[in-house]
Amino acid sequence: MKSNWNFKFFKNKELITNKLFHFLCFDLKFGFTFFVCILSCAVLSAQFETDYAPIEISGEIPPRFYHSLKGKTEIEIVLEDEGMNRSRRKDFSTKTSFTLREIFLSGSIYYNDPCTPYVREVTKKLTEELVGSENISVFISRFVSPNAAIWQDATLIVNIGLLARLENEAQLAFVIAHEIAHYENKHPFLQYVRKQKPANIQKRALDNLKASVAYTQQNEIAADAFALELLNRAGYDSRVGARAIELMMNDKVADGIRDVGRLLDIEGTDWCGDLEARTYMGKDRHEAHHFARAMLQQRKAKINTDGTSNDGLFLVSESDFEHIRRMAQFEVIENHFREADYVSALYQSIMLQRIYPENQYLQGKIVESLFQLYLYKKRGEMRHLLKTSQENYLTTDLSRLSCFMNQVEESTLERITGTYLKEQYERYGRTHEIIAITAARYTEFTSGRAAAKAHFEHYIKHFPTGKHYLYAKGRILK
Amino acid sequence: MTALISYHSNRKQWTTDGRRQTTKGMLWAFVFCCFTCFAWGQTTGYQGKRLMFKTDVVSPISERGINMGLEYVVLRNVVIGLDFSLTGRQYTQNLPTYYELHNASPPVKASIRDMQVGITGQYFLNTALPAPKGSYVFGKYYIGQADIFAVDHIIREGKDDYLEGFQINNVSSHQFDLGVGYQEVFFGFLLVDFDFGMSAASLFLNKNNEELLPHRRDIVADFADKHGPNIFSLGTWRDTPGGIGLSVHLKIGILLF
Amino acid sequence: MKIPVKIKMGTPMKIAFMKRQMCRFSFSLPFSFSLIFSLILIFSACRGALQVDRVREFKSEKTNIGKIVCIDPDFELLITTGNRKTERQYKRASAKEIQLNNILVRNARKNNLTLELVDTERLLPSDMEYFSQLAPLKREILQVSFLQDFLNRKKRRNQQKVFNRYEGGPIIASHFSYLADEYNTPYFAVQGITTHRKPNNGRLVLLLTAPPFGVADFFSPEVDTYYYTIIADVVRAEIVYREIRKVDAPASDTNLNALVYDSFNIISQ
Repeated sequence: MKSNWNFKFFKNKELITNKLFHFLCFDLKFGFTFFVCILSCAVLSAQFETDYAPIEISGEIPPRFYHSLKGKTEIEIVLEDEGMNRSRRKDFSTKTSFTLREIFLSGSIYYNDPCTPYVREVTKKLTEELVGSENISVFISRFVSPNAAIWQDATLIVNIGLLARLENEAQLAFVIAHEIAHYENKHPFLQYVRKQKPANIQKRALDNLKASVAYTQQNEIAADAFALELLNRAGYDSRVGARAIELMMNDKVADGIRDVGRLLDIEGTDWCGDLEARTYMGKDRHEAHHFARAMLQQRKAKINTDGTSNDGLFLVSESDFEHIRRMAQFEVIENHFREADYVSALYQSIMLQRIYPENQYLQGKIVESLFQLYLYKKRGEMRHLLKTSQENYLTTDLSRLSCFMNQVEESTLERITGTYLKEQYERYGRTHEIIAITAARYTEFTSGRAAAKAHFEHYIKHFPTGKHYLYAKGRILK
Repeated sequence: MTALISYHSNRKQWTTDGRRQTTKGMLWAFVFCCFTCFAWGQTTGYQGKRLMFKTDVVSPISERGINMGLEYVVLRNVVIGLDFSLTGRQYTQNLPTYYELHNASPPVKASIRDMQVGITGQYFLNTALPAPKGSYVFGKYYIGQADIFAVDHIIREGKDDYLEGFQINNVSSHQFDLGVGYQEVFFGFLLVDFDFGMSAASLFLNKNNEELLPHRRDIVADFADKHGPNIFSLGTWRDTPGGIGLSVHLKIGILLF
Repeated sequence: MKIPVKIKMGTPMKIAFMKRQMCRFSFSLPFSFSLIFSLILIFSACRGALQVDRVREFKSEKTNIGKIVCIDPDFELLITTGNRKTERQYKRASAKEIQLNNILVRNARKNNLTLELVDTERLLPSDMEYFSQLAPLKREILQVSFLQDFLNRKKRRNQQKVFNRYEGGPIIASHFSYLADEYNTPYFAVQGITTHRKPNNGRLVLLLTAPPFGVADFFSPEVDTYYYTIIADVVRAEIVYREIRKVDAPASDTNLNALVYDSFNIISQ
């Protein structure tokens, strides 16, 4: 018995030890990980809770970036004869170099920023075993469209819009792997070859439509297959590819427009009621969009069949991904604003305000966007402004907001802007530079220079090192 | 130089009958215009250079003379200029009576030696490229004095005939040109100007002139059809001998300052 | 009995007389031909277009301009081939850009303007302010210039004036005003050239009526050159000067010198 007890005891002891060990090793580890995740999310959330400072380019220009700026220094692209003569290949090389140069010079590429190292890390993880992958240089662009692009010189540009949209690291890895596949299969060059033969693609309208899509469906499917292989090899969950594709196409936020209406105190009936994105965009664009959607459905089905599911959603860092994702969402607003797409900036700000209701940056952007829209309305240029950003209004919510801004009376928009601005000015007028200067500019436009003088003086007093300081000073002296 | 040497030696000084005053007035008017136009806005010139000196390379060949001038950019697209022209062209006369008898033209050639000063106005058609570069339309008006030498065929009582030369001096001459041109600047200072247009010239013969017998006006009118146009004559006048036709000029010059 | 009245013909009368005679002149075939020829020459002549918009205050501040910062001038060379395909010529444009930069600096100096030209070809690794300050400003200037007009577009369409002056130009963001301190001038310019070489559509009329000109015209390609200058005053946060000109001629050094000098001349006046 004793021995039995002992045995039992020892057995139980062993069991307990094992269980304890198991708990310590696995469950605690899980718990700890879970705790760390919660904590990091809370910390991350707290980082953006009150304010956000947009990424500003600083430091020395990185060598690879600097190299791309020099027009005379052409990037060597080694290409074999793909049905093109030498001069054409040279021409392709030149075009690639100069187009990239223009992108780099436009100030649309981030450098020395927090996002790029993370995306590079993910790329490195993906391509550890891939021969020749060391040439791939990754950059993050300010472009808001959720996409990425690779060039035949191995420059991979991931848009900030993509980082803002994706849900996990595996999805990002899929997109990167997909682009690397394009590079490995020389798709940019083949696309160029295809464009050089207009006679073949101008036979029918449908062919023209196909030509407008960057790569052929065949190339895309081949790239997807290669991407799945890379993801599997790296240990990522490859089935997320289907969701990544879906996210790149959709931007649905439930009841977004109601939030906008509520915030701006606009009656629900004032919106362009039953307006759909397709009717707003026009028939042709819708058809192109529809065609692209049909192609994507096919790709999604293929990924779901060929992909394998596992736990590999985050292999580099989940917290880093979350941090970068949040940052990218703020950056998307900033870049929408830079591109004068004030409707999208306003909409995205209001949507992000659901998560960060007290964020001053978002309040400032709403104020600024409303003021800019009012300014264009007052100058009679609203229609022209909206038309230039029309291609961004792919969702019904954005189409309706854009339509509303087009139809709204100047006095109504003045009232909306004035009411919101006044509210924010009372809260943040002394601490938030943008709100203070926007209030001054708004007052100048609506009530004249004399009325705005006090606001400009207020700005000068509270923000002596502000970027608008000279402007404010100039308005007073004038 | 050849043209200058060939110029008639017994030409009277251009100081008689008060015409000098007119020329002097024109000159002063030109200078006045130039200086007042400094104050006018948007006058650029070519890189700030507005004064040009040009000489025609066609005149020594076609008219045995010289044609040179100073031009000044007064407005964005407007250039005015002062031209000096000297021609010493010789003409083969067609005397019907002489031809009937000798079946040839007179061996002595007639000549019109003309010294003119003129004003030029050019309007440059290109709004974006200011004068003096590009295509332009021009108008020119010349005024001057000419000496005419011609021969008259005289048949004495049906026995013999001879050619009698006569000279009419100090004939008032006028010329009017209208056309289009193109001017290009090379190396920032060298000008090449090509123009083409209609040219009309007239010699106002004084009826009181002793040398001018009634029929001699017709003799002059017979050969003066190319006085004015330098490549192609389209017609002539009888009362005031001269012609109308096409003219071409190729000028080379420099942008002074 | 008629008394003969002798009227001395003065110069004006002589001209009038000449005119009368000319009127009597019959329109012969060669005369008609030359008239048509001249008209064709006039209409086939190199034409251009110029549009200058500036705010009134910019003119009144003419003595204070002094310095302008020109942010990376652009030179774009487009060639449309026979099959209606338009391509950009990058290498040639890059070489021409260097020439344009020299021409801009030289002609600004001739107009007593100091042009600080920021050339991206000469950027150093430490010149990060180009990306943080000037590239966004250039983008803003171009964007605002496209989106906003000095006046309503419909009104502008009827306006044929070459030089226009307005109250209040297009408004740019005010956060660039701090650049005035860094560069010692509130004026920042975006300048550039776009040249479009098109296949010759051969004017048959000119070929038939004026063979020497017609042949030259028939075989030489058609080239349109566009030159633009947009100047923003960052302290006032508005675009104060905007100029676009088109010339039916290639962007040769002589043409560019004439264009650029004239442009700076208008700015400095």
